[in-house]
Amino acid sequence: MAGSRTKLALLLAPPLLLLVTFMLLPLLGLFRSSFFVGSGPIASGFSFEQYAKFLLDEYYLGVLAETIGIGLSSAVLSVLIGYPVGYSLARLPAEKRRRRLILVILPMTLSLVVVVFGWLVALGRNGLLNSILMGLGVIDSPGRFLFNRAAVLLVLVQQYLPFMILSVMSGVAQIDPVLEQAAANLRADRFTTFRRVILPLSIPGILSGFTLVFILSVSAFITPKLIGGSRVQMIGSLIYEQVLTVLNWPFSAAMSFVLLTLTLGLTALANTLLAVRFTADQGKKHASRRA
Amino acid sequence: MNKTPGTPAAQSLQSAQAGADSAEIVVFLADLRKSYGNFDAVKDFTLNIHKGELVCLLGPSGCGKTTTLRMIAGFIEPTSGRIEISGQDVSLLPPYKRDTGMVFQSYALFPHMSVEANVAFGLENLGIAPDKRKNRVLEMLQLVELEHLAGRYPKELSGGQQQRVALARALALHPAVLLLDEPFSNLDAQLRIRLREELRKLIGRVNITTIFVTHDQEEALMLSDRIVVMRNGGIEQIGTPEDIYENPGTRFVAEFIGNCSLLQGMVKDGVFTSETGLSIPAPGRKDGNCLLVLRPEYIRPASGKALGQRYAGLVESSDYYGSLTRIMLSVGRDSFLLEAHFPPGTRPRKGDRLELEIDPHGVRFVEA
Repeated sequence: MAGSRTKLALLLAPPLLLLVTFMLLPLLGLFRSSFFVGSGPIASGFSFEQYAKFLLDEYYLGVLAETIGIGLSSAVLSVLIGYPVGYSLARLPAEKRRRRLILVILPMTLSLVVVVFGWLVALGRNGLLNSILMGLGVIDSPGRFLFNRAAVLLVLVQQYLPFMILSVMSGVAQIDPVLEQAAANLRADRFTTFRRVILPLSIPGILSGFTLVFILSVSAFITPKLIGGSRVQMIGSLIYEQVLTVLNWPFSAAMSFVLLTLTLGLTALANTLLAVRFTADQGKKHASRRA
Repeated sequence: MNKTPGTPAAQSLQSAQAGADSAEIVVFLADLRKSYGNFDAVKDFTLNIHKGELVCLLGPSGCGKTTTLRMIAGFIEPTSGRIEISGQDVSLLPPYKRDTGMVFQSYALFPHMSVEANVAFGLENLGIAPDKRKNRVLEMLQLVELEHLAGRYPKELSGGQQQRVALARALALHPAVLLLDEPFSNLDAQLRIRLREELRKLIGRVNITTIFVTHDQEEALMLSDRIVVMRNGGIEQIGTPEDIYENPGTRFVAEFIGNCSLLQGMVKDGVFTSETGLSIPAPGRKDGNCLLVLRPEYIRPASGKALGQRYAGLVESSDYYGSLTRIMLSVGRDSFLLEAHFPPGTRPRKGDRLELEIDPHGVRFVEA
């Protein structure tokens, strides 16, 4: 027993060492620096002034709200678009699924910068969308499709949709297709089968996809910066600015921890939701029997 | 009889069927066919099933029995032919509009629902009022003796319990016909035998028309009122278990169900002569080439008074099964299978000589 434990410790040591050295220690350092006094790259002391500056300022709270709003919208849109795709992929025979999966993953192989520039070209003043709309006579002069919330949302959804599709697919693949036949045999039409059998069993996949897309969206900084410009401010681009342009490292450290708390909080919430949903189902059934 | 079958084939088949009396026809299948490209998974399938009857579709894997069952349930659309349930043509109806209750091979219980909710699912879809629904669920769970597990989830149940829940769920809707797709194949041998007996009692108690798919001949012989032996998508023979076993219509049926000895030869003037020159009386059989089928019970070691002609053979193998010994015996170049009980110490061994006699009542012929 002691031998196997030693073996386990030895096997775990290298990755653990890597994580502690290059992730945990820097994170702790960052956490410490979020309590520094001052506004330069090098500071010292201990105070809550950085957090106070962020959390008591209407502008920064507005950016936080915008960030959460865009994160939620992007996750919801991804569910709506990604669920049917993920479901149909999961129900395809393995050979066909592999080929279509490549189409889903392909955009992820491109550098984010290339993707964003592609969108800039497509949505720009003399871009593809404007040329098409003007060619069709829908509009007379070029419209402005960039630098607004919708454009940011569009590009975020495009980038993170594969995560949703893959999550839903792996979730649905675990639902035995014979359950759909069993439901049909028990007089459930397709909609009832979906609502009462498929959807409840897909919840874990949907929830993990939702969490992933939300976290990726709220921490995005290239997309809001380039597509949203100065009109759409998200916390990620704000941190980026503070680190590289303003060089206010203590403040950016504090903002990073607000963001981290937000994402960790959502992950924890998703996990409890999952746990509650199953126990609630049980509780409801017991209650209905007593009634 | 409220149904007149559409095709002449159906009529002739129906009159040939055992028990085709005044009983109401619940399931009627006419010229059912399912083709995948050039391959016919099921073809020329015509069958009537009467109220309360337990009919078994029996055949080796790939014979089309499961495809037939799934066409009745509506999961597979037939290429041609007609399916009627309780006099209604359901050939084009989706599964949820057909009056069937199915127990799947894997049981297909909803993992996110309790036993109770699983059984209630179909009743809810039918729009049955909650208080009536509750009574029906309880009644069904009592029927399968699982009312104490109503709140459990499927993964907390044993295989046998899951099967009973699946059965309760299917029966709760009082379907016109119960469909069972190899319901015992996921259970170990001992449990299988016990549940088989339970299932027979249960189906007898609710007196429901049942179609049962299996590749296990023992299961079919023990459970069925009628057996439909299938091969390569077509019907090989329809009959009562006794019919099928005692009077196999073809070589395939003779070999697939039970054990037998087969002798190739021809009949002339009431005497069968095998290719190797062995002759066996065959009164009443028309002249011509044929195959002689002999079940092992009709061959016995010669003793005392002669029943008929005796044949001297050499024991090729002798396998002891407790209640009986299975012996392969060669007579000339023909071989016979014989099953008998020998008193302790008298069991023939390999290489022994043994005289056997054939009970003339057991001699059957099929087309060569």
